[in-house]
Amino acid sequence: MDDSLRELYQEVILDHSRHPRHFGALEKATHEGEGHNPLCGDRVKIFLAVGTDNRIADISFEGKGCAISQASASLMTDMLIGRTIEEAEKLMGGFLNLVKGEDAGNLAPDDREHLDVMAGVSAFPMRVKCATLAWHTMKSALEGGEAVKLV
Amino acid sequence: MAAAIDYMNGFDRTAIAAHEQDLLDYATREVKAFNQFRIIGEAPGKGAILSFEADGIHAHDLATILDREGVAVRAGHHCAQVLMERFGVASTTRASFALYNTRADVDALIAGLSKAREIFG
Repeated sequence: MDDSLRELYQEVILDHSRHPRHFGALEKATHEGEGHNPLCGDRVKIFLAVGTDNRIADISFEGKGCAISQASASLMTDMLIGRTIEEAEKLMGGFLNLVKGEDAGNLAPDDREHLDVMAGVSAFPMRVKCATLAWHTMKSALEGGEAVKLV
Repeated sequence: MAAAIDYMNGFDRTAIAAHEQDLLDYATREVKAFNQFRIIGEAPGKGAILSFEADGIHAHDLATILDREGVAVRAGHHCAQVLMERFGVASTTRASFALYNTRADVDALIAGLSKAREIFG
């Protein structure tokens, strides 16, 4: 089989898309964000609980879309829970570069390894937006952008 | 545009329609025989397009896999969101047949679907 397909749909991605982590609404959310990609119809809603120590205590998401978009959102929740906002922003920047095939920057080796499962997306320009939707929505939720409703 | 019209005028339209219908019938049979994809739209006398959806595989994932197998399809909501919502269909994959397609193209489509099943289970 085409190696780039195998790289794109590796077992970790398929597992996240079949069994998304932290799926559903968060009761005590401090931030919410909504993302929509009208071109492909993917939708995602991100719920965040940020503590007074500036640390992300919890994240959840709801959404519909392809395997890449669902897996990416699920992986993101796994990776960002427990981090400070500054740490999360650095990781998000690294991820967005990685899926575009650019240098992910100075990430911890462990983080880099976890994010690497999504690196195969860079070989499929049409699918990059599927992978980034949840992360852009997360960024926007944290920054209080227009699409974001602070609860 | 003129070149396209000249090209089309070089063929017998009835023959084109019969060819497209043959491909549609063949593809419909093959996709049904595959038994893992639900065909959407089987009105009599419809054009040579075949839309379908798959349990557990989103149309965009399917389209990416088919693309790598050399099969170009359209996937998603086809700018018909209202209609799709009405029928409770999230997204479909759509193959279109024209005078330059052959039964071998349909076979390639089926092989691609089988590859998608291999990946997604």
